[in-house]
Amino acid sequence: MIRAITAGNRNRNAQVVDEMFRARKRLFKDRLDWDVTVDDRGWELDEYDILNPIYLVSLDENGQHQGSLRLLPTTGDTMLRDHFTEVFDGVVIESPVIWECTRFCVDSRASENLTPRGVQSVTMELLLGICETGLTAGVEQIVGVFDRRMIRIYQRGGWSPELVGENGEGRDRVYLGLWDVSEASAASIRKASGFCGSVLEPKGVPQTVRSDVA
Amino acid sequence: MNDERKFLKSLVERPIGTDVSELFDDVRNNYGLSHIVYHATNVKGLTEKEPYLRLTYPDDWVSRYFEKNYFSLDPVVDAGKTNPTPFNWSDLDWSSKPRRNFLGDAAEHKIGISGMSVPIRGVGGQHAIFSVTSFMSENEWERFLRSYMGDFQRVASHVHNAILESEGVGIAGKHPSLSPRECEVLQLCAHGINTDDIATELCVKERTVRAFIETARYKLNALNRTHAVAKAIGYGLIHPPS
Repeated sequence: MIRAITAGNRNRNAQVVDEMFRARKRLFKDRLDWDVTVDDRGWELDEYDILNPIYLVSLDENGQHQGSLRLLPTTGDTMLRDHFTEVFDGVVIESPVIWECTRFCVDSRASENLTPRGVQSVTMELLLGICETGLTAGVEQIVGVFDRRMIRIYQRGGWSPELVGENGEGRDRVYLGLWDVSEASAASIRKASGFCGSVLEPKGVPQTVRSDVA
Repeated sequence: MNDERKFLKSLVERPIGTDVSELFDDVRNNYGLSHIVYHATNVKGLTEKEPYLRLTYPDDWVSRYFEKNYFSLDPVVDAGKTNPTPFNWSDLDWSSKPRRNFLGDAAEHKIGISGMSVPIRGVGGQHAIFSVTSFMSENEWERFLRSYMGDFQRVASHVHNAILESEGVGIAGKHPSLSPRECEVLQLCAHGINTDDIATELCVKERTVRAFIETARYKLNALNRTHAVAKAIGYGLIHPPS
């Protein structure tokens, strides 16, 4: 199940948020050795985390973090605008209907269940979560930067990006991709993954009248 | 052409140079909405002293809102600040008695029975909220939002940039500039060439062409492709079709 976490419900999800930033540290710092900052809580954090983004988090049946990612509209400050413009020949994508996906992270402790096409289920759930969230938000495309190992995963996941740019050599080669957000994309991801219906957590029933007492 | 484009199209055909109140009226008429509120919460040069508001609410509701200090109750502003995705007001927490009374009061003042907000983010931490209200029933409203959310994203950022322009802050007065690729794509649009053929011509994929058109549209603060072409010609960024 995918839970959307924003600054509005973050306090209620303090533990999941803690797990997310630690999982990001394990992946981006320890495993991929990216040039990222880790704070004294052991969280990998950057300047986009303070812009009130929306995080999509994949939770297991016990409510534990299995993977997560971050979405921001490209009209505002984005990694693409601030860090990748030079890398990709001056391409700046900015539109209220194109959103940037960053910090796509599958927890090293996540279930290793694979879909029939050999992609980790958590990855697929996150991809479908992006597509479904985009559809309700009026978003038409997703933009993201990724490395070579992800290309086959996206292909097998039924949601291949179109490459807009690439740069770098060998292991360091990075790609700029665009994903289409549409009912057809969602159907293709569902077909590739075996997920039926929505992966998004149903919207909370408004809380009971307790606050009246206060 | 689907309905969404038709709606945006009629907005695009507004006379040039109309002010923000007229833009609001056009949006209300086009989409059958009751009211519109634009609320800049963090825009350098505009919100240092107090929040900046432009709205179509009747004066008696505005004074009542301040008099009753509904600001402190209204969950919309908080939700708009903390969440970048648009939200239906019915998904907010209205369970407390003061909030329910506030809703009842709003309905009595003919503000509407349903509402929705699109948070707006700009460069440098810019932040604003565009909200609309209506008298559609909950089911109707949900269907309506599903169909037109893409439109509202575009209209919200258009309103935001039009207001910055009229207030002389932010990007105001800056001649929009497009990348060579964006110019190329728009130039081909100006010649009436469709997205697929532009992709073939430029040896890129269709999705990339759409992204470049979308980005150019946003930079020109246009509402759709036709509007973007017209504005690009006006700025001398591309040539008129011969």
